[in-house]
Amino acid sequence: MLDELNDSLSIPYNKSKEDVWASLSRQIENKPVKTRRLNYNKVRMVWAAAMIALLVGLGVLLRFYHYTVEAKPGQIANFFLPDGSEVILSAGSEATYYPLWWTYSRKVTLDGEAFFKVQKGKTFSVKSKRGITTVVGTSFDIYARRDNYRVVCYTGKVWVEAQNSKQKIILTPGEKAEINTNGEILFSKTKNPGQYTAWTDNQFVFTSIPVQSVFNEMARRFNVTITFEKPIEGNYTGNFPSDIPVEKALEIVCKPFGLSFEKKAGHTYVIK
Amino acid sequence: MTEREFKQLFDTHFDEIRNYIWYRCGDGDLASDVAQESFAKLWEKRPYNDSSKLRGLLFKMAGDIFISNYRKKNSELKFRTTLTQKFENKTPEEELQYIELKTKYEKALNEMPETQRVVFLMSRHDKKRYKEIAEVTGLGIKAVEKRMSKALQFIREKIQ
Repeated sequence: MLDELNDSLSIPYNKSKEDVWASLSRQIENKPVKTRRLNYNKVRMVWAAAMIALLVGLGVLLRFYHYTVEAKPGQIANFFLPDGSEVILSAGSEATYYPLWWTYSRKVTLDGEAFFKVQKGKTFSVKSKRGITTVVGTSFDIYARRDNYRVVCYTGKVWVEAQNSKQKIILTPGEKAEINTNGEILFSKTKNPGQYTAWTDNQFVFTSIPVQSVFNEMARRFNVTITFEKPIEGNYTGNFPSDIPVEKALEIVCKPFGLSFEKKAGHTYVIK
Repeated sequence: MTEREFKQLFDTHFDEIRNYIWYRCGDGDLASDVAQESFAKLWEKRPYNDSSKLRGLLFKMAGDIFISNYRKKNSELKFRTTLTQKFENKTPEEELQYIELKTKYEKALNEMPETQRVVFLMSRHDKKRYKEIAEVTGLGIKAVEKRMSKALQFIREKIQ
């Protein structure tokens, strides 16, 4: 009944729909087109571009952010890489790695000398000027300075590759590889690999090393400057602790060669 | 939006917008004005929303214009009905009965709370489904059902 009622009734409007449209048309004719304050498409594009730029920036950061650890002369620096691998840096050395990219690629750049204890995992490589050493899970010592490049394998397996000649070699515990300036790899076995990591225990161990190199290493470890009155020939073999006064250490090395030293200002010693 | 699209929008939605305002105040002229104004405003803003949202926007704008107009007038707009009877063949008795009923009905609509009335008339006069009513008013379906049942109850009581 209600429906019947509703259906029979209509709302009384004075103006018809057409009437309203007529006045509406006139009304909008007078209104000028308002310049849009915001072009939503453009806003969306700018936002999308900003997001892409952000993501790219993030990606670049992840991939290229690097961290350098340095052991100054007279210091030994000990640090852990994100996967728990340990690096012990000798005096006057620095190592660089990419912390945010570590899970994808384990790469370290080394200038100086360091002992590595590598956790099992992806390929771990250490790059220096003369050679690249690669391992999977092992421990080894790398000496990468201007005068020599030397790798000694302690445990596990080590791949060594020369930078200029691309020669390769694999080392097992007790084996040693050296790379000369021509990129040639010289392989040898060592009965006592511990001598190469003696520095981690505050020891100097030298086996037939040119005496000038010995003094250079001592300069780095003691953080002093050592100069020579004239070039000194000869190889030194011996070991002694490094936590003794520098003068005592100098005496120990000078003695077999009949050398003497003079202390100058600013921690400098001249060998005569 | 082109002018043609705008005319199309007008043709599709003008009546229901105007009715909506009328359901709220019972004033035909005001309803026409408010409806016209809301279309004019829509043209002015020329929003980039997709057309599916425009209907809801029109309802909202019409409601807002009505409220601000209502406030401007600062008087309580009573819902005045002047429902026009469509011509029908009736006997004098039927005619009398009909007029009596019509008067009671108009009175009931007049006295019903605005919120119930809007929902009730959208359903019974516009023939809108509850879902549709919910969409254009912004209410939940449960709320629409509740108001509907209250309105029916109210009318039943008044028409006794």
